[in-house]
Amino acid sequence: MVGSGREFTEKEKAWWVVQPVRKVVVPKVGHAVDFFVERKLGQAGLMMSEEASAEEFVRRAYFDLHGLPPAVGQVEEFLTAWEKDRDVAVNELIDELLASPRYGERWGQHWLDVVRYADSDGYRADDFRPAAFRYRDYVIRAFNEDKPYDEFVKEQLAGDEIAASDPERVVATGFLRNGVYEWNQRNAEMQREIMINEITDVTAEVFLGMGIGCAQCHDHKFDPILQKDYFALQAFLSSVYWPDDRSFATPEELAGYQKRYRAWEEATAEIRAEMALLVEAGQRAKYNSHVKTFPPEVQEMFAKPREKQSSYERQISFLVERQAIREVETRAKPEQVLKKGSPGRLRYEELETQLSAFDRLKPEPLPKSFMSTDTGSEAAVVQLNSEEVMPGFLTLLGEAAPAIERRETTTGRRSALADWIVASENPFTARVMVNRIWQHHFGRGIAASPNDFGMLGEEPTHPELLDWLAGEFMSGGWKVKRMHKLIMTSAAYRQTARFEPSNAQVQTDPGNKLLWRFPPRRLGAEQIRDAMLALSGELKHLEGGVAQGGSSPVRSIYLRKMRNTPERVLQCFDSPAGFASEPERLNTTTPTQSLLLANSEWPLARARALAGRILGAKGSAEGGDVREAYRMVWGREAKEKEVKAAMEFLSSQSKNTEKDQRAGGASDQKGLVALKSFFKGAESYLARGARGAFSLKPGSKWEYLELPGVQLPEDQFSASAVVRLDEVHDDARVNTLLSQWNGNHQSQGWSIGVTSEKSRYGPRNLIVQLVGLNPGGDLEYEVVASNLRVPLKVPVFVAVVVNARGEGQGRVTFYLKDLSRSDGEMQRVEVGHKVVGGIQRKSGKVFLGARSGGGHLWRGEVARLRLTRKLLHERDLPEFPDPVIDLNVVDLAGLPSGAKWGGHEKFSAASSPEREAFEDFCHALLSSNEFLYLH
Amino acid sequence: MPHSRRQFLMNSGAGFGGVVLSALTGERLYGSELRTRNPVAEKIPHHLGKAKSVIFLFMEGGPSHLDLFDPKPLLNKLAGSPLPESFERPVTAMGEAGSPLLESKREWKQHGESGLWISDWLPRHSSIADDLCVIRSCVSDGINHAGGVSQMNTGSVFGGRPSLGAWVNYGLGSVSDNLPAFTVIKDSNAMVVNGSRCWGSGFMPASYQGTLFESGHEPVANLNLPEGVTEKRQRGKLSFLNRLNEEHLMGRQSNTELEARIRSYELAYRMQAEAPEAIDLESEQAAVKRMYGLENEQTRVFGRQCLMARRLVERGVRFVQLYHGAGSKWDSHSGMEKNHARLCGNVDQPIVGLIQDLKQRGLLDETLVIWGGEFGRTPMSEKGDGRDHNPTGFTMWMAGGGVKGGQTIGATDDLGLYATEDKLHVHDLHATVLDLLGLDHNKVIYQHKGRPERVDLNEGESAAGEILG
Repeated sequence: MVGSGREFTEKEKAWWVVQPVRKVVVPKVGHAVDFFVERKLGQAGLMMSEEASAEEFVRRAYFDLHGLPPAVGQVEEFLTAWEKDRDVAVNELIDELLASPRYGERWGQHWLDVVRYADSDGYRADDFRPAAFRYRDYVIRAFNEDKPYDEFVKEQLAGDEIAASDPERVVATGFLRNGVYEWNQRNAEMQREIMINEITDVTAEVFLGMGIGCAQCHDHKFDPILQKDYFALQAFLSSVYWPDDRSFATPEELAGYQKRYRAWEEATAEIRAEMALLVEAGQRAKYNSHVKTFPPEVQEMFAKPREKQSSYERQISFLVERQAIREVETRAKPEQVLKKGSPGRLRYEELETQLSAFDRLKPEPLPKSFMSTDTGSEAAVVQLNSEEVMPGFLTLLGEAAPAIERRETTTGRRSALADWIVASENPFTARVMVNRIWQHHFGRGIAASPNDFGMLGEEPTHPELLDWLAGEFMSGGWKVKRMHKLIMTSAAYRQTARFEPSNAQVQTDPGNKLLWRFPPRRLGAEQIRDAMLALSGELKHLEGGVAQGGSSPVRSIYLRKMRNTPERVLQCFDSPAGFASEPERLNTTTPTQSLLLANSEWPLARARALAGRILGAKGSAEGGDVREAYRMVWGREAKEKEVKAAMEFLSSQSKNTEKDQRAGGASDQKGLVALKSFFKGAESYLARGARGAFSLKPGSKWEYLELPGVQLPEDQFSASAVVRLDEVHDDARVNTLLSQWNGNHQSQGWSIGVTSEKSRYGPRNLIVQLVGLNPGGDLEYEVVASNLRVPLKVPVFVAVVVNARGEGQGRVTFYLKDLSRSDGEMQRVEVGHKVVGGIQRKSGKVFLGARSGGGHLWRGEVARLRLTRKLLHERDLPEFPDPVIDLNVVDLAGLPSGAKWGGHEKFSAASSPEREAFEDFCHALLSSNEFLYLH
Repeated sequence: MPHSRRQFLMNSGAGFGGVVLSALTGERLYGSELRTRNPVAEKIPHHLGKAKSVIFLFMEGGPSHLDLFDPKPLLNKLAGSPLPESFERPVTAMGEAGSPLLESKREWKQHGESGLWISDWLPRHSSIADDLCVIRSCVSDGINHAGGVSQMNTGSVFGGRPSLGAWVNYGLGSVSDNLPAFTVIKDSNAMVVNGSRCWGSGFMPASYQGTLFESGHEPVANLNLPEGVTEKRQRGKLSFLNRLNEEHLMGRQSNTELEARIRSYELAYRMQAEAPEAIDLESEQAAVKRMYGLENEQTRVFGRQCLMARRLVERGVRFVQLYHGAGSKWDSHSGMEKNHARLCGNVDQPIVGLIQDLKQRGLLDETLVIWGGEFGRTPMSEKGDGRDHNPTGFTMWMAGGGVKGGQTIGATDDLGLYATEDKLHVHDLHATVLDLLGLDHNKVIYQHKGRPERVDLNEGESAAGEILG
């Protein structure tokens, strides 16, 4: 028996959280929650505030349960019901909100914070985890279906043991693999230790509200937790690993798949055997040389036959194998192992063609799961001071060692742990969860430190309430939705935040721990982002699925959460990075947030869309539009003086925006001259303030122009254009000016464009993307960046001369000239690249303003465009001899027959000073404190 | 009422964030108190540290101590043979522990009055030899770049903790209201390994995090007005917003966050005015620019960074971190001669220029300059002419801030593989930096998830005593 033999003090034995959950009796009359809250307030000589107004309450309830603002109609509906009967209205509203799928998207996020969820590995490579979303969807679904919390806990710890045939429940064990993973750590034993320690720490924090990390190295200094207890808990979890080959499928689906797959395998056995033979030597060499980079003792474990390996050795081998496979997959692909043009490569390609003839037999691959399980039924031994530590619970509790039933492929230990955690006698579990629920409703838990009920933390403010809630939670079948309703129907929750404290509150309870008013709160990161998208009418609802790219207008919970490159709006408003369990959000107020709200493109675009939604095609706003904006953004009717002030602002601001347009246009005579030398029709273009050429606006029906086929040489062309770029994308998408390319790195073509906010080449960089052949004859994708920055909202002249004919190197010459400035010099840059041919595209279709088939859109205007097969010199640019395309969009001369517009059938209204002033008004509302705070 | 309002602010625990224990007075500063005052407002140190600000020159990727500051004659003697049996075999990133030892091709001389050893890769450093305190016994836990860079910045190999600059910012606060107290400048568009969390605030409020200054027309993200929007239009909009917020504040004054947000717009506005000026080098005299090597293609980039760093500390910025070789460019698994010769050429003059310029302005005494990477390199070769990562023994140096120059602290073994004397773990290094700034690292505490957190994960010890000499 390992142990310090330490005696616990009386104080330690009296630690509140290890005492059994007390049965607390409440009066039959009145709301139980209020019984506790009022009693405490009364003892302090304080009382609750008045009931919140209907507007205040409905906005609070929507943001709380859905993370979204109520729509104008939803507010009205609630007001009507409120007039009839307040209690009924509140009850019905809560039921309705809890029944909506939006609920799981909000409360699932709280859970994802606690389980350090992310869609990437962290560390340097920060690889995307394509299947992690299945765990995220499991969590959302669990909340929406009101899965009993005890089942929820058990599935996350041991879904593979208790529901092996149900992929939806097995994937809950993704909980055990949400932590960070280092893709190239050669010290495999240390890596395993780090991973198992992390799982131990997070399990204790999440389910038991116990911060036990300190006890890894020594007995806990402040809490009665022994070092031995740490390892006894770890012993439940020590055999876990993260298989990558499991399908997200039922046994029946799997069997069906395997049957069909075997048929394909049999039919193609010979072909595949020959293919394997061709690449085997090269791939094996890569695999073996990678294994050799591990320490000798690790290689020894890895070399043992699987059946001779211990569970521990299998865990280590898994880590080695994972890296070696990655190495082969990225560095020893068939086209890397077999030299281009070699007999082996040619044969391999032949065989590939033959193989593809059998594709109809081949079943669609099953989706991958994101799960954890043990490496075997025998446990990986946990040691402390060279002695094995068996699974067990806190010494302080004095409980017997658990009975553990070994399974066929797992130790059974995690099920035993889960059973103990959800046992009704467990003093931690229900308290921890009801405390989290309370915390998210009121901004602060009854116990203030939700992941650590340790002795250093503050005592619960309402210990009896906590116990009563915990008891209700368990006796009500661990149903979370029931707890929401219980809490939200209380007077404590229904009171107003609009009460200013006087001396009584300030002296007695300045922190409002006793709830003499509803605690005012700032919206959280996801609430801010999602609410802006909802108000602008852009929010797209999903029913789960693969994590979406940064700028998708979907709810934040569905965005890819990359640990090293967090989404900017979310990060700025304190969304956690996902490295550790975060039970509470920080709530900061920084100049960085103000800069983001005031100057960055993202909120501006939302404001424009909101303005568009209200104004439709109207050129200017009236009083009714202002009222509607207030209703939408603030959830209340505007006061008369507010409407008046807004109208005054619109009138004065439209003078500011008017000047703005002139400033942004090319009013300067010399600039005009510069422009005139580049295309006909310049005067009429500039007379409109350099507006009025074809607007290529995403969301309009003129997103891009598809031009009929033009056959270009395989290694050269020149293009020039007069364009205006109004804005760049807020992600890494390219603003494509002209392309003969579909965006696939394996598909030949070229594209001229300007980079966006998150591009690795920095924003507004004029670039050419090429997919062609390198000197070795292999297909190569290359970005040729000029580092010339395209100014926004002014007419510019751009030209690129692509010369991929060089011996061993090609080059692109870029030209850029700001036409709005008389002193705008022609900038010229030459950049070398590796692509030396093969950039032409067979279809020959040229796309203006997008890649082929749309996407990566240009956001601005194109006034003039020319394309030639020749390599032009700078002096030829104004004249531009022998164009194969010569498009003068301003007066529509030269639009070739067969050209067609692509895009959405949505009306895009023209801009005007008055309209822009209203956009500014909407922007101010979306940045205002009344929007950002529930107060 | 004014009295009670102040008291309310003093005592209010309305914040939801972690409760912050003031490092300095021992007084509890609650969330909303922080929001009322500028959270990074200047604070008073525990004891008198000479250093008031830090410039951390981070050579990302791991420079070779064996070829720069830590000469090993035995290495050249044994070159070509494997690591002798008497040495414990390390676990190396690329698994090259068994590869033959690689000689150092450098010429070594002692420099300055102190006779400090510096190799011929840093020829100009001879003129600052007497300012440098070279620590040859640094130790880290990260064998890969991600873990190494993360630990050198945050103390942990995983991430999720506040960076050193954030701790300094938290402990000492900012002198300047208009510039971020912790700024980071990189030498290229390439990202530093692990991205922005290298200068993140981890579990602390975001006000302590580093701000990335970029070269170009927009030094700080979202600093400029939206393209095409005039100053006048922006002012019109923001003053309307201000009016909305002021009206909203009426009857809600007890919520100090509301006022703080109104104020954050003023701060943002001042930053818009001041930040571009702080890093605009046009006003610098030609002779100064020459000191930093701005006229020379090879040294211009890092020279600009160093000169910006001086301008920032002059303006009260507490912690400036300069990355050279962002994205692991100092990493040299093969072809080290070529790689290091070039990179040393990039930094030699700018670093010397920085030290000399700080000195001539009387700023060196109060500015602690730190040089180093996330680890050093192995005596064993890799791919014939490179070296693998070595976190078990490597060199960093400090200068200024009261540090006694011209001395060498600690030692590695005869091959430079393991630190043997006066080991200085990254935790110790962090504790030392705080100490040199006048902060007791044991008392700079941030309460998180119910636990007292410190810069050194409770494991460091300050070596300031030796370093100050």
